[in-house]
Amino acid sequence: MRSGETVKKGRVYFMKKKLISALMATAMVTTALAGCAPKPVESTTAAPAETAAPAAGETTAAGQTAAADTADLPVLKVAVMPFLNSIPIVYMQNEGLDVANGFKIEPVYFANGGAMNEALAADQWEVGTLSAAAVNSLAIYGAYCIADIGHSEGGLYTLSKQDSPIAQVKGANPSYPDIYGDAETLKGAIIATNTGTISHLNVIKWLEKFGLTTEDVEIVHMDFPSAYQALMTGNCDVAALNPPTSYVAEGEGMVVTSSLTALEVPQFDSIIVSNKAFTDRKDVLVNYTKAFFQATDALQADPDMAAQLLLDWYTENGSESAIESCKTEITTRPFVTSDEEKTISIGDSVQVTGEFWVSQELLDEAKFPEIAKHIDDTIVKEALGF
Amino acid sequence: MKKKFVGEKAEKTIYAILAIATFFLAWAFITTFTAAKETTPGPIEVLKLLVTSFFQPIGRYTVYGHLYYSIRRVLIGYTVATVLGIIVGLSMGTSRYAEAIIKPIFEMIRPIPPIAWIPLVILWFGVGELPKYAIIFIGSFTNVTLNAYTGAQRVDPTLVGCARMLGTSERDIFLRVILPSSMPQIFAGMQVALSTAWMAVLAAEMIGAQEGCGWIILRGSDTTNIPLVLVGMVIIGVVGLFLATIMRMAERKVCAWNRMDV
Repeated sequence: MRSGETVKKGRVYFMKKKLISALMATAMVTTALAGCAPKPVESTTAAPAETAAPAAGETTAAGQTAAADTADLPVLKVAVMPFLNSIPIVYMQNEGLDVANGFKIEPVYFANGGAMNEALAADQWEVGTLSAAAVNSLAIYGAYCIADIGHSEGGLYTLSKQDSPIAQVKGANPSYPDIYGDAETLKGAIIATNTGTISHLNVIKWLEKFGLTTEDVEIVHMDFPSAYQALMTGNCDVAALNPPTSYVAEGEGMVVTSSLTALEVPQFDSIIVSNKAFTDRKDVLVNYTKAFFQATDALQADPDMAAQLLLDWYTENGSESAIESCKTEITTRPFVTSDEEKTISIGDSVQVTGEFWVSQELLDEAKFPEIAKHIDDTIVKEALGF
Repeated sequence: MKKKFVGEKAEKTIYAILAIATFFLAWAFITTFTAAKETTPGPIEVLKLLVTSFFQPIGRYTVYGHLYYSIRRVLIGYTVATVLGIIVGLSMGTSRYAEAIIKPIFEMIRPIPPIAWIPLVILWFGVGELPKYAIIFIGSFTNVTLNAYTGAQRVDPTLVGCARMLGTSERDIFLRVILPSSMPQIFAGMQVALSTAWMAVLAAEMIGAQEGCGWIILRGSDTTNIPLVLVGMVIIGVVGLFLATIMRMAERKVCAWNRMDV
């Protein structure tokens, strides 16, 4: 009896010892993993020839002074996405335009505009670049649109297969000679798109040109990659896509049946500022806007460099692309230069998108007036001096 | 007896290898001879990309870097979930007050998938690493808690009654009767939780990530790069299997007294 009890005690002792050992081992591995992180691969190769950076490891006295100086600069939390509209921000960082204009960029990464809006509610970024998603930023989260910086209507296509009846009819509406289809071929068509986005607006505007509405076709909601797959596999007649998926589909031989450019619907990517930053950090935002347009001017002046930078940005973010596709994207979706900005009525495209969202019941009608209240051109006017 | 056990083990290994080989052959067949070849890459293409990704970066890191970040996120979220899950589960299983208070809330929260927590987690923890750990924590906490609770509830009441009758203190009853009896259930919960933690990686890496195995799948999906999606899936599958094996080995060591073959 006594020896049995001893054995039992011993078992319990060893079991507890083993459990503690296992937990300790897990804690050690976790701590070790938390402490050492691999270094990312530097993939940016695009840089203007005249701004060659010092060789790696080369530290100059001026550089040390600059490093000490930059520590005192105000830091701006800038939202970036793996898309074209973040390229000026990448350029600003690469070329030190932020430091030259008296602030430092702290990039905060987001996969898309929806995620940016979620984080805006949590005050996780101060300034970023958005297209259609800016509607929610302004109407719901009280952010401000302070400048339009890129033509985002380029590459917003509806596409069909070459043998589709829709692709056999062109110029049915003489006012829009470049668009395909007519009322007969489009009636009953299955159109795959990400509803509530600008691509959905593209479909509606396209149908309008033939006197049709969304009631005359079957719109199927899915994200863009799935819509692309549906088109390729013949599960839909038309896919309304955005870049870069639209360029991929075009490259695969699909016919661009309409585009926002052909439909003459302008759209812009805009600089969006959180309500807090707009209220508290106007000086830094003026400098940011100045630096941003220095970047767009440089990128528009050197499209090859811009295309290479875009390719590097895509590669860095895990997207496969080619330099030719990037050149096409740079050409079809040009940035707004500082001169062009002076001619643009800021925020018009956000209003158009907002109206569309209200019509689709994606935005409460009562919230719509908030958009106009949150468009402000004073910062860009001060930055560019007009 | 031991010879028979070794034979059974070898047999199981052979069956496992045959099953995996059959799976790959079926995959190769479907993606070569059916219409699926238009949309789905075959195993060779995926394996080639997988091997390449050990040397060429996907995004900013090679596979090693992505693995590092995902494993780190899983282990931190999982470890916290395990510790808290065992405490909460055993509390519920041993105290009727704890059960009465915690169980209704737990049962209400339990069915909510980790992905649904993303907006709230961003509001509470921002977009850094903390929300990713939180999502993985949410993904694994339930299984550990539930199993610890069940384990504590299933302790033979006769054993507890005997211990009490012999004057054993409540502390000793917990440490020497309830805890050891619950261990197999707790380990079963930890096993399942490890799998669900890996499932939650995808949701976790939706939050502002620029690296990780879940991020590989998301980027592949966003850019219609299906081979990349499959590479991410294969990595998560293999690492999940590896960690589950380690967990089984740990269970065999810690709960050696519970094995039927010993």
